[in-house]
Amino acid sequence: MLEFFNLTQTIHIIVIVGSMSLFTIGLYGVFTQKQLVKVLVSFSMMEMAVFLFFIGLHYKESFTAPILDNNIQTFTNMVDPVPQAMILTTIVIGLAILALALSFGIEYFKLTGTNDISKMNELKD
Amino acid sequence: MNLKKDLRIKHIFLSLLSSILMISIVSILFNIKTDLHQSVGELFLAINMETASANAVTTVVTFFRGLDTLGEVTVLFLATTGISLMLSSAKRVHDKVIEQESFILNIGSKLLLSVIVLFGVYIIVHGHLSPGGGFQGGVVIASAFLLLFLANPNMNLNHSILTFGESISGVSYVLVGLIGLFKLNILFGNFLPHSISQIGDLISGGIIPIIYIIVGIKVGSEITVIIEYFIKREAQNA
Repeated sequence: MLEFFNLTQTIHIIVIVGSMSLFTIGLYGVFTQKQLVKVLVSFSMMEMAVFLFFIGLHYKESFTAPILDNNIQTFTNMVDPVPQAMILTTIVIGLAILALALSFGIEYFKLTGTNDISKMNELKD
Repeated sequence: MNLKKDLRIKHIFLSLLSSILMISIVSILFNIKTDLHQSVGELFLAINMETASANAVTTVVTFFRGLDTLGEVTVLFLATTGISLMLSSAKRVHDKVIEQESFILNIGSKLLLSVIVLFGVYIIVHGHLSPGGGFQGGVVIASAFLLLFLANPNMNLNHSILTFGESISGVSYVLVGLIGLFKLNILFGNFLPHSISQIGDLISGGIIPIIYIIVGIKVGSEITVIIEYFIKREAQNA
């Protein structure tokens, strides 16, 4: 019964549905939230969904992580290392961008005293 | 009352819109018939043994795509510069004394600091042998300093050491790439000895562990700077 969950197809379906659900929750947050910090956290959630999607879609049945150890001596039957390396750098970039956006938000709150994105209309005047 | 009803209708409409988008994305993804197994990763895995690094992800990050990692570290540096520009405009809280924390918290955080930093250094140094590396270990080291800041808000870091670590790691990253260019005519060429028989040893893989150690120093010092700016900022507002 539990063998079913090791199949590549099953894992792919779970990854697609789960990560896109997380993406949708983040999208809903971006649509509806008024606080700037909540909007930024929603963007971060959408980012995480894309990370999960990229990593999970390269799962293959009976393939191992691309690292040698005492039992695995050759680079065969291993999953693709490129998406993992790409997501590794992207996570750090996402962290830096989130911190930069939060610092902009803090400065905006200090200047105007509001954190509500529906009241941000300085460019209109 | 009317406003509340309006808001609820808007929320229901937006959640419906999000669900429709999700269903369409998922149905598109289910209908893709492309074979993901034919990729550049197969080629990388085939020639990975020549680099004498036991971790293929580390090899891709630091060696095959070393120039991209340099650009990524540059983006991190620019983000740190922007944060320091935004958050350091107001005067800092050096002389404002916040209430002293308890003795156990103070000493315990300092004891834990050394253990966490040691763990971070272990993750960085073993980046080419096991899961881990410069980015992860750097963030672990920064988390040790976050603990120190949370336990003792009056603490001030020595900024010259942080700036020195940040700049020396950036310069040495470029230097390693340029030495490879001059000796082997390849940017980020592996100019140090890397024999395949040494695979799995701590000293193996030529420049791969060196680049990851540099990345670890850079990420650790930069994230520590970011944490410090945010924590000091909060202390000022309180």
